[in-house]
Amino acid sequence: MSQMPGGEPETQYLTFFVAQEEYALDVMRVREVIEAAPITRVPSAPADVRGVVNLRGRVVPLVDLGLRFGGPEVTLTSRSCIVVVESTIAEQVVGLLVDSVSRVVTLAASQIEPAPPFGTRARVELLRGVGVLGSSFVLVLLPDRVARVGEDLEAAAS
Amino acid sequence: VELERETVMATFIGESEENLVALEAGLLGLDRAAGNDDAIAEIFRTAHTLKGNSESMGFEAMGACAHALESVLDAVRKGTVNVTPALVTVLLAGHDALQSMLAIIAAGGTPERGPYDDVIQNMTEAASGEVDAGELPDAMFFPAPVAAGSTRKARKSLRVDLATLDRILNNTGEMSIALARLRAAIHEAGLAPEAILEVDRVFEELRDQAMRLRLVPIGPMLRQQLRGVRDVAAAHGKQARLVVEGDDVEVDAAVLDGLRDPVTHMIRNSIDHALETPEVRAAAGKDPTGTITLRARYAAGWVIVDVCDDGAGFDRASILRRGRALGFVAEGAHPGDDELLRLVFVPGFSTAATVTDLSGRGVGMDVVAKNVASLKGSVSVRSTDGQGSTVTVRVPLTLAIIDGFAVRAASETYVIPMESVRECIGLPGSGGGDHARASEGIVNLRGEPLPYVRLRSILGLTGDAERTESVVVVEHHGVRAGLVVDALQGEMQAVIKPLGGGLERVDRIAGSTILGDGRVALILDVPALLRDTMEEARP
Repeated sequence: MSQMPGGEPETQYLTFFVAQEEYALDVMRVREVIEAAPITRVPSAPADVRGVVNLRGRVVPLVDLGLRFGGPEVTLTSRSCIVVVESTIAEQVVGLLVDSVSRVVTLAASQIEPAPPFGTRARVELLRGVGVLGSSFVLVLLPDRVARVGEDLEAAAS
Repeated sequence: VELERETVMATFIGESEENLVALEAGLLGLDRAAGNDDAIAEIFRTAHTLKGNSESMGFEAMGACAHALESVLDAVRKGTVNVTPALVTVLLAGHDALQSMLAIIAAGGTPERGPYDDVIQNMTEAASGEVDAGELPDAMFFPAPVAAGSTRKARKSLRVDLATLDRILNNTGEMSIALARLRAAIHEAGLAPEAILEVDRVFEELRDQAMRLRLVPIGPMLRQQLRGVRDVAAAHGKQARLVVEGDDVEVDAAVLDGLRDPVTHMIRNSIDHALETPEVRAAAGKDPTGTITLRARYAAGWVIVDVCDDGAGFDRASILRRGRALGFVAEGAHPGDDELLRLVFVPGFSTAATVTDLSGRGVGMDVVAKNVASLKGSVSVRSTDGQGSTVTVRVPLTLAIIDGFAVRAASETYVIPMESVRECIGLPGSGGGDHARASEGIVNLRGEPLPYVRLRSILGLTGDAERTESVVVVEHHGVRAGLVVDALQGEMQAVIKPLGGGLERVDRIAGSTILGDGRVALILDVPALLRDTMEEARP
């Protein structure tokens, strides 16, 4: 974290594309980015969980962000990647399947506008806000919300 | 120097834990040891060692407490003080105080004398013969009570974090995958070096040893129950002794931890509900002191723990009455003996407050069944009226690895735990037609009709059925069924990986494992599959 001349703290974000939209995650919460590995489907898992993958001996769930954002599933290509994030909830490790990883950007808190009530594909609850980078936007995600897996299971159980 | 102090401290804590276990066992047997000079001298020496070690480490309060305990034992040894239940209770309080202080030391602190003044005072008085034989002192509570004792077998051992052992096991698992890839590459290159055979041999041995690292003897956990037996019996006006058999049986540390509560619970149940009062026992011609036997043994990849009592046995009549009252048994139905006794494990049957008065026993047996099930084990009961009952717990040796049978369905590999697999047969007439697409049916198994379901149907898998299919005959609790799969891939040892990150509660899947090619395969939960299939079949 560095300081702007005005003294405002800045945060680095990793950005990636899902269905042509650019999203951003705090790099401190990204454990690593790996190539799409063979996916094992899990019957009766939540609809947006594509399955599980082997992350160096650890079996982690893979959330398809295309599905999580309410769109079509991510098509596996040579550019698709798994962004591995560590959720602070019970130290869970979850993979996020994205179309492609883009860049690392630096945003100050003042550059992140509140998410508009509509107009974004991802539900507002998943967003921290909209980062303004010159003429382009990135949708800044809340890591714990976006990496939450049990949500649908809990909803079904209650 | 700091490192040296740490090593000395670790040795002190380890030794003291062992001495405290020995001391407690000795104190509990003190009344029987009366007159046996050697036995009393042994207990005295243990207290003496505790005192010396505490003092040399500079823990004055602990040294003072051990000293007071030692002086009582000295008086017993010299015959100036008699062993009475009250005296034993005073000494056990002293033991508990030492245990509490050791826990504080293990957590990095130094115990103060203040909270222990009373217990030390009581022992000092007892040493000069000032304990009224009829008067039991009040229960005492000490700071930072200790839950578990040492589970080590020998003094010359090392404490290792379980997470470290798991990492070693994980690494060996990954190594086997990497080796499989390496072998394939070597084979592709047209080479067959002798060295790879050597690597395989050494690796196998390494993996076996890594798995054995997690095994610990069950004896200390069983012997820890001694105290509970004494306390619960005293609280209920019963007399009970504990016999431990098979204490060198070794079991996975995680399984051992999971067994502790169920065993404690079952013993409490036996004393509270199964053992008769000394008068009733005497009238029935039995030894007034009841015997609880804890017996551990191996059975093909499983560890069996029996909790036996020589009490009155389960009261079948009141179990049946209660089963009817709660609607678990239909009016006019007469369940078989097994079925009747299994009722005590049904949630809601035994936790009701009234059951203690109504039935032979049974507070919280459903909790025991649930805990054992979470260890992938099972629990059963045998009971003979007037002669006693045996609750048998069966748990896998380890939770980390299972023998599995790999099958393929809809181009995914699934692993079925071998314990549920009975046999495999081809599915006659499979391929083509409506028959192949039906989700279930009946196959002739040596003249017996065997109902089957397609794995792809119950798991909701998509993709076309194969031309030929096979049936894996599985069984759980006497229910037998066929699972139709696309192909059989054979037996394997599977290192179980939990489905992490929020998928732990996914239905019909018991866990996962990593295959030789690095892919993840799911392990099927056969009991859940059979249960769901039968429930869906009901109208």
